[in-house]
Amino acid sequence: MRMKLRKSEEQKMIEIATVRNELDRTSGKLNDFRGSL
Amino acid sequence: MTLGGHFDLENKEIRIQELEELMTFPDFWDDAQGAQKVINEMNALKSIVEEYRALESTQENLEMTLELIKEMPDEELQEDLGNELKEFTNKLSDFELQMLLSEEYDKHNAILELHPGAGGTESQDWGSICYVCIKDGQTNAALK
Repeated sequence: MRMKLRKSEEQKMIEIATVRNELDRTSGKLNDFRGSL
Repeated sequence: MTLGGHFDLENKEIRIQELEELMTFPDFWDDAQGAQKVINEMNALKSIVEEYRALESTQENLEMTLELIKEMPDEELQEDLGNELKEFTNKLSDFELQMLLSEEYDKHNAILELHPGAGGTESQDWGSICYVCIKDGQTNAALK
């Protein structure tokens, strides 16, 4: 049970990290749009 | 991918202000065709700027939601965030394509010829594959 819970927490952390990476990518894209001349 | 020349937010906002100022002139409506041109340009610019601002605002909201989840984990909210992020990235890609096709003649039709050239049936196959890719690409709203 404890193992299962830990895995689930890990999964959540991975998902959060994935969202963070994706948001960094989209933020970079928005900045590119704004800065393009 | 760089969108050099296709998107310059600050200049577009300045241009909108200029056009709005132009519209306040008493003789603005004397030349109906000219006035319509100005209005069309302003509407096109406003649509781009407003869409960009909306994307910017969505980005901020998603960032805030992520911070909230980090502080107070909530599975349902995390799932919602994942879905909203997917929708947001799709909108961002559509916007990027729209910006690439925003030049004066990009709304016009085009004639495209595919010449497989030397290579026999394999070359013809390749030409057919190219044709299908282009045809399917046209189903994208931005390319219609």
